[in-house]
Amino acid sequence: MTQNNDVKQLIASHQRRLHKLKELQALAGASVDPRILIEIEDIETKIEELQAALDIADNTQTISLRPPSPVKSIDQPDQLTPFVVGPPIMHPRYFFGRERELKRLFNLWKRRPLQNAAIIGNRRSGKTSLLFYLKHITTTPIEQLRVGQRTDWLSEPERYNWIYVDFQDPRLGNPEMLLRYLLSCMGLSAPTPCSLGRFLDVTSYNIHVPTVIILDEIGLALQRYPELDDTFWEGLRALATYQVSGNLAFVLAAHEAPDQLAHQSGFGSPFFNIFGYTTRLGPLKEAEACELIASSPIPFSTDDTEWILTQSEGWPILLQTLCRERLITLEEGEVDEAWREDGLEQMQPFQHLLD
Amino acid sequence: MNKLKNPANDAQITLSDPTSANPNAYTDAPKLHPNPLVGSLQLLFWIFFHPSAWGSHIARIDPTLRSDFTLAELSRSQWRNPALHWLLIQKLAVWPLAVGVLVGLLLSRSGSLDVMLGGTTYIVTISVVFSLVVGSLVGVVTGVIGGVALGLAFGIIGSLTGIMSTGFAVGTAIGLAGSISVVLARQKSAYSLTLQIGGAIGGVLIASIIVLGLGRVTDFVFIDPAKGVTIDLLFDALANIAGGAVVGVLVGWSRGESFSRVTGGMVGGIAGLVASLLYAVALAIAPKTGIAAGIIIGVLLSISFAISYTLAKQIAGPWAGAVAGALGSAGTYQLTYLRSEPFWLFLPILLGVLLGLTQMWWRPILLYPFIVTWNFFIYRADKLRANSIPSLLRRHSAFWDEYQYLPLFGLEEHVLLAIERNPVEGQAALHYLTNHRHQRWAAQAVQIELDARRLESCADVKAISEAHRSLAAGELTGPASALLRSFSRHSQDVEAALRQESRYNQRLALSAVEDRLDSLLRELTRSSEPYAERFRPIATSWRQTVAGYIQELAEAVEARQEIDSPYIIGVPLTEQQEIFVGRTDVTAQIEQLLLDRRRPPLLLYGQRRMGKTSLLNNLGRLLPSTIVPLFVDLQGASRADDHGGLLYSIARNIVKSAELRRNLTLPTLSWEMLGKNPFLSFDDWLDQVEKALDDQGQYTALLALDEFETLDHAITKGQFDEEKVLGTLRNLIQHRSRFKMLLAGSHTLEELQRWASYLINVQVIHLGCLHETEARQLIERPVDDFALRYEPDAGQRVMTLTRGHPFLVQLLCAEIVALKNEQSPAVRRLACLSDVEAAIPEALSSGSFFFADIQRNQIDPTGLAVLRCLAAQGEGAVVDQTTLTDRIQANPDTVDCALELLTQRELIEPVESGYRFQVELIRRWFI
Repeated sequence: MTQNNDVKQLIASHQRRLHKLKELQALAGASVDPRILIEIEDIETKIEELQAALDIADNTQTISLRPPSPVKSIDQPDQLTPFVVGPPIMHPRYFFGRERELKRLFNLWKRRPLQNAAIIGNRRSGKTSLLFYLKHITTTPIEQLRVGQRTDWLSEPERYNWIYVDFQDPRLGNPEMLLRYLLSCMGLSAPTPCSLGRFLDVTSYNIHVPTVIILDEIGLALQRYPELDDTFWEGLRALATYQVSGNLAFVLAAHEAPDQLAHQSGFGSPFFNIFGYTTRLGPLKEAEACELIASSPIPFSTDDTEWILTQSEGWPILLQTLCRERLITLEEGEVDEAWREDGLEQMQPFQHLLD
Repeated sequence: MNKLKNPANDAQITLSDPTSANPNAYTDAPKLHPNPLVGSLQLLFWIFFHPSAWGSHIARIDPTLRSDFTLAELSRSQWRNPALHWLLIQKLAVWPLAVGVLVGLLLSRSGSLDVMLGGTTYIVTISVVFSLVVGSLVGVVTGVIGGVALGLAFGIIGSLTGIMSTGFAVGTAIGLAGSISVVLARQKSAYSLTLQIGGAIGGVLIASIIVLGLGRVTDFVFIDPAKGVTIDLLFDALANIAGGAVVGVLVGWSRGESFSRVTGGMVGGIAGLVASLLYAVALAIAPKTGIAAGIIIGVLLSISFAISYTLAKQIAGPWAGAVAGALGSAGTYQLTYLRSEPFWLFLPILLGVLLGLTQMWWRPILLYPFIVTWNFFIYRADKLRANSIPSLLRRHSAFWDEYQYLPLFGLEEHVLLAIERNPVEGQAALHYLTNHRHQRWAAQAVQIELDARRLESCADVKAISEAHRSLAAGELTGPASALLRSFSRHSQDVEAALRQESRYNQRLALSAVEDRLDSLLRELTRSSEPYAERFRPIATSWRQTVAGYIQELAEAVEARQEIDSPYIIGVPLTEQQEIFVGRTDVTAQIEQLLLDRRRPPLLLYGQRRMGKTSLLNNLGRLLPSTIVPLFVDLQGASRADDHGGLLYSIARNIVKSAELRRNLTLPTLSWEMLGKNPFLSFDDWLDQVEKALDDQGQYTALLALDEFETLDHAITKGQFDEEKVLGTLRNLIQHRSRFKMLLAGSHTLEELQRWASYLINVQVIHLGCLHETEARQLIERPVDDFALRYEPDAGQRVMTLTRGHPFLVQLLCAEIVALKNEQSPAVRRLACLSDVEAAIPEALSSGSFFFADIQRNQIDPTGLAVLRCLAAQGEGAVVDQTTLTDRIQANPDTVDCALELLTQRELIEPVESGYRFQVELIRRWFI
């Protein structure tokens, strides 16, 4: 079976799941569980990404396991809507805030040895958007960014190899597939069979450029993929700890608390205790939230801005939702405040952030 | 008369600097004075000193008219131009009239009416004919100057001397006609020197032919002042018509499109006929006067000049034309007027011609002392006239004497004075000088001085960064241009440096500029260039300004510079990391045990994140060089699929480790070599390793097996055979004298029983928290030049909170650094107690995986309850076992076991009759 077929099957699988979720949504009506809505959005995004990857593969006659690169999307930022609700923010231009976290994170990767970091946050708190931002901000052309947006976090950003692993992709729940994917992204040949031991043999002393492996939704990996057991993670720990000359770092993102992720059965040092910096994503600071609101092509009134700040409490997804609603009504010339009701309704799926 | 308006002034084309306050100053296009007489004088003055003004005046009258236009070439429309009428009146009426009167008065002293009338007629004839065919102004000047000179010569001096003087006067006038023709032609020499000389010689030949031809004419036309004039009128008419036609054709040839040769010939012929008629009329009406002679001499001189001039000019340029014309005309004069006189009387004529032709060269020298005196006088006057405007500079000869080629010293100072007092006027003067060849040096000097002053006035880097915009380095050439360009580059460099966003980058860029200014300064010190002395203080000033700003930036950067966190958390330290501190006691213990002849295996035991791997990584530099630490990470090696993979991985680690830490080359062990019996192959390979160690020195190999528990786990899972793997290790310890073994882990062999039966007499080396001095070094001086200082109680508080636990010290200190970096620069560099307290929650959050590992993986539920109970009692609280048992409501035996485990994990410690947390920061997690 070719990798192209893998992707097609994956899309079909996602579509089946999507169909089932939409049935549930229809049955539940207004009282639908927000988690269903979130999963629907996630799957729709994933299908789009996979389809894009498939299109590219069809054109090039080669299949890459590499997740669709957001770079593709950031080529023409002007075509994107300024407020992004639902899918992660792909283009750095539309990412706001998190300056403190960014500074701490990039400080970990400025020099060898690169250090590991964990990003913990509720669902829809902006973890994946932050991960994409980390991956792309240092190499995005300055003309594609907002004025004053900082890019000089790293001294030689072009040398860095960023490997994004999205555990929502079930293929990556298979150790061999995952290891092949990592080797592919590192530019190393995969042995056959690509066991953990052979993987470590190949990678040992062979990672010569700063490499950051981004493990998104790692909680999902721990829950769904039993093959990714303690042994596997300890193997990755060994890779990060030894024989890479400090050129490798992991950054993980999860919505589970560290004590839920940290469970380990063996005697060896656990994978997770190499994460010396953990940050928990909360709401944006007020200045950051105001900057996001002010990015609207049609300026909002002070009253609207205040209302959005109050209702969103600074959570980026809520800010994006309310700003989008307001912008739509302004573009349509509506002057009443009905948009606020719509906005509050749109916020419902993300209410857990405010609880 | 003053109310008369000169139409030419209405059509003025302003060629001067538009910013000039007085349009008639510092310009080559001044307006002609409205008074006809004064205007006429002004025109005459322009011819000798300021011909560009004449050219501008002509251009104002008719842009298509040339400076050396002839009356013959004027078109009908031009003839209808009132401004041209006015000019011709001033030239051909005012001056001839005035000069005629003057000459008449002078010649009247000769007592001969014939001479008086003849001289006057000659003057008028010359004026008219020159104006017609050579140049209108040339004719006027020749007539006026020649007439005055002739009058003076005849009127004042006696007969022979008078003839000589007259000849000299005529020669001078003709020479002047030649030189003025050259000036008015305003034609840069497009001819080579050879061609010009050849042209002049050719001109002389042409002139000679003409003169000889005219000599033939005079065979028929003999003029005898005593007997009157005898002439063949018909022949004279034909000669005049032919001569006029020839001149007309030549003029038409030289003037090109505006005046065709046919037309020229016709006009010339008609003019010759008119001259003949006038001559005949003069003979008929007043045969006894000198009028006819004046006419014929004037016509002959003019025609001979015109033919020679025009021919030679067309061949070899204006100068050749001027020489040929003057000589031709002079020769004609000799043949006609002095035909019966000795030939040497030609010499005064020749002298006059030479003086006239060369007046542009000798006149400036002759006038120089007077000019300089005048210029000095007006400069002093200006100095004394405090800030009065307009400046007398406009009267400076540089602005009205175009021919003065000698440098007018002091001009640059006068211009600078004018600029200081009235920049607009000064700039107009500067602009004028820049466009004039002879005194351009003064413009350069002024411009350089102005640039120097601009550079000198740059008081700060901002001004320096903008200086290059006003520098005229690109416009000027000369000795200072290279210097100015250098300053301009430095200015641009400063501008580029200031454009840098970060102060750090600004500082770097400015430091480079400072270095370059230093180089420039050294060059200026060594240089003997004329402007080096002037610019050296400026370079010094710039360098000081830039250096001062760099210092300011450095101070600002220093104040704002964020503290660079040296802490490395979660990743084992290698020999490359300066931050690894302490552990000398442990190393000494290892070294001591390695000397034990019984060669016991060692166990480096310490809790997770206590720094075991970091210590193993640093053994290479901590132990004597005779000991080769061979580091093997069993957490990685144990992921091998089979025994071959395990042994291959171990061997590979050993080889790499020996190379990295001791630069030793050991034999490698390949997959193929392992073959079907990997343990046997491995054993053979160990033989080779021992031999290699022997060969390369008396080395002892310390096989350090990190994370040995993972191998135990793999054996438990059945991945590896216990006997084969652990038996191999036992064999290695017992039978290979070169090898010592060091296991590292967070478990004792009591916890991993199977190891105890293979490894006899294991010596445990406990790796605990850092000693206080080591921990304090990690807190306060983790690296050289660490920018953060701790108040004593703050440093102590970190110690208390972490107890020297290396991970926790780094965790907390990294948070303190992050916290301080968010504070204002004024307080950033000093950590106080409140900062430490504020960093605790952040440290608990950042290190949550460390604490979660303790909570989830290292203790049981009873232990967790005990820790929470103890934590709730507050910092440093001691709780006895009974109280703990009561509070958590657990079985005493279970509590007892939990307490033992917690003590073993070094989380709590027994104190007197109770227990307390060993590390305060860990207690905070369990609150």
